[in-house]
Amino acid sequence: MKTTFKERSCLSQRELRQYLRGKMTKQQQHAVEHHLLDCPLCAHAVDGLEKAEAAGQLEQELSEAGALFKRAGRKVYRRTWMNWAAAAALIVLALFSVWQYRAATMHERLFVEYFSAAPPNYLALRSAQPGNALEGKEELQKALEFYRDGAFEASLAHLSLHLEAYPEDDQAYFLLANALLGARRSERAAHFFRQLQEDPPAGFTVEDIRWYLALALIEQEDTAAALQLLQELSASSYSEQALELRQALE
Amino acid sequence: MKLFVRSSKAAKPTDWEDDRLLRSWREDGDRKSFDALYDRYVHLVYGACRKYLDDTEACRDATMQVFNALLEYPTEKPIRSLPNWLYTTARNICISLLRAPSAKVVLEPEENFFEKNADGFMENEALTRLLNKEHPHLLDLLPEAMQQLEDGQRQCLKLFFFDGKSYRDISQETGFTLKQVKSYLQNGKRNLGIILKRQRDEG
Repeated sequence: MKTTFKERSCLSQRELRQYLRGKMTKQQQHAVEHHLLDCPLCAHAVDGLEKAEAAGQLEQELSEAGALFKRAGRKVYRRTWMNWAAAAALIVLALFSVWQYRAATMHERLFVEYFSAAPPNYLALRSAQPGNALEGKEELQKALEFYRDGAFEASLAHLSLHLEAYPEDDQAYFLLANALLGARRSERAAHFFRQLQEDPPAGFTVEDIRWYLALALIEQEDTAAALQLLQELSASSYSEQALELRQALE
Repeated sequence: MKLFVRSSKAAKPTDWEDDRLLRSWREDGDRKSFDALYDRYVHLVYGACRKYLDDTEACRDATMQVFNALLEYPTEKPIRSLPNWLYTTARNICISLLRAPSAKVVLEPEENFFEKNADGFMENEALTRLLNKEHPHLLDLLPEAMQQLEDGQRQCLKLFFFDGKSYRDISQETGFTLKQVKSYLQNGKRNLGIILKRQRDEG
């Protein structure tokens, strides 16, 4: 039994091929499947490459993927026969592309790294309210299920329906704004966060709202406005993250 | 001589652990270490992207972006588990590719992105660590803890852990689909972890 909880490293190409083609011993297969329960990278890779194997393209796809960086690298080395002017032009072009890529992706990377949707506060509020805060609110329950799983698009429709029936539910507005942000509809999310700033829902502070508004602005690549908000958060519980983000943006 | 051969073999970057390769790449800029990590994981990153994207060219693009992100990742930020970092980055990149207005690469419905919650894997990894290193005596409590699981989970975990059956064997034996078997094992293992931690804290 103890052996069933042994840790192992990720699958090599050879092991992956053997597993997909059913060419492992029972023990090897079991050890791999045990690892798949612990490792999202290998589990998703197996699922994804099953499609390639079924289409008879596994070898070709793996060899093309393996050659990506090396091919790019070789291309650069083989340019040495070119004259200096052409090489210089290539370097300028490459630098320009890298600069464009970095500018376009920096906001995206920062957003993905720092965004984590606010936790629903209904259960915390439950003790302060008579009965169950979610009881009889089916749309809200469905919305929260999707929301907790990170399926923000799916939670949006249910949150909207819930708000039609309970327009005074401020917390649902806050979750709606978070779900919009998670679904990368940052402009609409920012609109809601701005409104909520005036009167935050129970269990959340103005700083919470500002933090998410700042992330929405980063997603929109509005660096100046985001920096100003992050500056305002420097004396709050978000001071550390706000400082990191400011440094990254500046 | 044998010793010499063994030690010189172990010194090859391709034999190093992830942490050492990462340190060598990120702190000393050793490109060979980066190449070793690339060779170790490129097929898995590509495969993970392939789960979400049908277009093989888009998969190759996404794979390149993941390794570019690793190249550019700030040195001062720690990467605790490279496989988990690569998976999360690949998933985020695939999501942004799918959401780009020009994307024509969708095969899987978007909700499938969330069908396997990464947290579940991390919790399972934590259970493995708990039983291996921190509290191996908890293994003795497993049979009792398994009684507290729901039927499907208990049945699959028993066949998998105690009888050493594969996913496919379990599927044939129980009549569950392969997808159900994976889900029961994944969730059952997570629940088992919760029960065992509770028992550890109580006793």
